[in-house]
Amino acid sequence: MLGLIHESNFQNKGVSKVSKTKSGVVSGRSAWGLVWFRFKKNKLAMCGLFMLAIMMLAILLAPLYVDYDLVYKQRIVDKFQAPGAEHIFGTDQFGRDLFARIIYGGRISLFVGLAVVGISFVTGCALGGIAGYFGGVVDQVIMRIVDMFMAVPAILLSMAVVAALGNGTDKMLIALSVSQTPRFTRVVRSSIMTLRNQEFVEAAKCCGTSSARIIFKHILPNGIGPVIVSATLTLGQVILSIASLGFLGIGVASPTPEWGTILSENKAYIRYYPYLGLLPGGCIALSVMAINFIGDGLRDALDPRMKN
Amino acid sequence: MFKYVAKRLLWLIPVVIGITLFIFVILSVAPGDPAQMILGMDASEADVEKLRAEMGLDKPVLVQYINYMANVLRGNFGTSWLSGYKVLPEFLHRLPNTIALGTLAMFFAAVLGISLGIVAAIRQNTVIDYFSLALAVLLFSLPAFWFGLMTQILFCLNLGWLPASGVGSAKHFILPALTLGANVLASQLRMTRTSMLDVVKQDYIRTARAKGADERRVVFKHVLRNGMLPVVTQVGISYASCMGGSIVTESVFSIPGIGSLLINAVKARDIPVVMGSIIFVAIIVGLINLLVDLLYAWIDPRVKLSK
Repeated sequence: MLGLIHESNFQNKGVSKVSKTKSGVVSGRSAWGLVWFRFKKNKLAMCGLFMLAIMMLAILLAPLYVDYDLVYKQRIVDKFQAPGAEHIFGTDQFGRDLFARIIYGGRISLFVGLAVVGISFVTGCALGGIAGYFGGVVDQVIMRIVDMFMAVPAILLSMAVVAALGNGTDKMLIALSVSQTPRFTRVVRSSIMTLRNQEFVEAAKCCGTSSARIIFKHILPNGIGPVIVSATLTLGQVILSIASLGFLGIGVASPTPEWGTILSENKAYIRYYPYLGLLPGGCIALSVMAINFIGDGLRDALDPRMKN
Repeated sequence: MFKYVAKRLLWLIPVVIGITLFIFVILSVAPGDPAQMILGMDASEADVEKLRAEMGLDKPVLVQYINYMANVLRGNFGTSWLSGYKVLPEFLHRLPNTIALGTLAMFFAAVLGISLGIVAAIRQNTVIDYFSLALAVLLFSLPAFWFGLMTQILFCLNLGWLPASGVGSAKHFILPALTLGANVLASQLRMTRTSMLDVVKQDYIRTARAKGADERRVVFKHVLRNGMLPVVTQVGISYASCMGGSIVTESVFSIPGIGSLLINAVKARDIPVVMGSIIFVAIIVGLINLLVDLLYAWIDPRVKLSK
């Protein structure tokens, strides 16, 4: 009943009344409902979510409005056309349509980024979960290996793995996942360590609940917050790394479009045709910024005490 | 104290062994024959075999690895597969540029980031606070290579204020240090601001004010000293990322450091150079982190170095 009253308050008189009540009092919402409720009030975070959603949609629906052939089609007579009606982002040194290249390039930048975060998230959860829950020797071994990998800057580690495996998008994916997994393992472990000795876990243990059930049913839902925040912020950093590697010529190889690779191809001409640098760079910066806004918003929404 | 330092230095040994072994193992399972790559595709079978034997590639991975590490311990990091130079002298020759760049960037980022962070925290919710936060968000999201490239075009090529590439004078380092430091500046700023705001809420700050301490004393003596603790740790972590970031920055500004050497090595799969860089950087980062921890204990006497 109380929940219903609050809901109607919220709908009729706006946010002010509910937002003043302590978060715990707003009943009738699930834990994640509460997170979403707080997240929604964060203007920057919502702005980031909106920006990212638009970019994702534009990239996903690209085949509907941009011909894939345009990505590679060269028309030297049309080279260096400034952004205009015919080519909204202009053309590059080979007369290729920059808009098509950026839109299709975004698929690699964003989706390889998501894949890297996905892989390192899952591996990190498994490793960190085992280390944090079981502790002891297992924890020692896993964490010492993690420390080892963390001793080398992530980008250097990725580059070393690329050197050992050879160039290519798939190898870059592996390389970036290898260098991100240790970070996730650490976050997951510390998150689980703080929960492991809490009363509700002890209570579950007393009831004879199995380890798997305790991990998945009790610890994970409570400890996943910081990990999700970390995953979001990592996504931004991974997108920057993909672009950096592409720019350095050891990531996605030209002529396959990718934001960093596009910049690298046009490096020599940006001075004379600034849009060649501003547009792909702007896409990287905008997507990373949107993701960082979302990450910050999630962090504040998950742990309101952190907010200043 | 001595025991602690010794322990930390000894820990670097397994770190180096672990990382290098990892790269060696990947290399052995990855397709492609280095000997074939060096000689080119039309080299005769016999020549390739001969080179393989010379490079020791015909031996099992573990033997190769032990041989490599034994050589490293004797100070022999091998020769570049691609260009034939000795790895160690080349590194020592280039290292000062990388260290100078990293340190300058770190210095610039820490000084600006921390002071802006302090000001933003003291003047919370004012224009300067919002400006600092916006700056932090912007710098944190910009790709470093892009920032470098664009500032290079603007200040060096179009305006001609600064040299565009290479080394030689202090002027050469201004833009690279700004580029490399931009990201670190952003995280330092946010970290300092958050940490300061956290401390301001503490009871002992209220006590200090209640005792009638003037604002300057409260900020510098009470807030700053306590608020700086997490920031110092962040500086250490940032220095490590500066070493990584310098790879990209060196390439943009054609600075002859370890980073630019490494990029060509990665492209050509020039393994001795790659391995050498990893070992070097791991040791440098390890030493820096040790220094930071010592500094941390010095600032905060509550921290015990025993663990």
